[in-house]
Amino acid sequence: MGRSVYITTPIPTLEEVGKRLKMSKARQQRLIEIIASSALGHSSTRHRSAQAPANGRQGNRNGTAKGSAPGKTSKHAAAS
Amino acid sequence: MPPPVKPDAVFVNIPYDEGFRRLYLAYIVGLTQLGLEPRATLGIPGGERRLDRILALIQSCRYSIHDLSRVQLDRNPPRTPRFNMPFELGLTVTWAKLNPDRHSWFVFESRARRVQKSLSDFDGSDPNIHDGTVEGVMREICNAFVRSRSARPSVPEMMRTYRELSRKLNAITAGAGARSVFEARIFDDLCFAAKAALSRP
Repeated sequence: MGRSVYITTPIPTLEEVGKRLKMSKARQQRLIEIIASSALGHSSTRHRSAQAPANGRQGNRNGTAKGSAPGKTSKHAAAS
Repeated sequence: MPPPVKPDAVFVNIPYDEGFRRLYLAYIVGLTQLGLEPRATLGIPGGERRLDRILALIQSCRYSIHDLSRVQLDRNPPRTPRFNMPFELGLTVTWAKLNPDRHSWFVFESRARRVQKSLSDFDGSDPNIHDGTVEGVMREICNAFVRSRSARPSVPEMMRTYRELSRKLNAITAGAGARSVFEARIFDDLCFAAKAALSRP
């Protein structure tokens, strides 16, 4: 059993990963769009939380419950 | 004749059940972020050829991770232990003993000294203990697979990718028309999506 191994292989690009997995371009694009929509959703959450003090809403930029450590996502949030 | 070895392929020997879903995703994200290629037995059909195909898969991978943290009695009668993971570990150890230049393997566990009790033949080897947490899996993957400093992701970076992918897990599964994340097609989708999440500017 190896305790650790040193990796020297080049890190593949997204295109190379798609090719290795034999994915169609359409399938790749669908997944890229899902991930991109995730980014938009995150941005939207941050926008709402920035207004929280004014309208009294709870939560912070990470979507954690009021009272959680700032900048730290709760275990439940990480697990969901 | 064994298949050629893929130098960045990692055979991931893990349970496929809902209780393991978070760690399943953690392995995919962690290995992808390190530029490695996770491979699993998902998609290998049952039948007499299954064992041959599992062995061929192990032989084609330069590395393997064997997570024994859920080697336990299942809930359905008759209650039996899960033998698939230790069995595939046994196949791997034999292959690596005979071909030490072609394969390196790691055992991951959630609790220290548990594997020494459940698998005493393992004495003298140190498993990677992930504490049953996503962060622990990331940490132990980084301990097992070391890259040069410039190409080495940090555990917090891996956690960010994990959280992003975790949020989109249902969309990815539904988009593929799948019922479970433990389907070969979803496994591939998650590998690609993990890479896409990393590549996003």
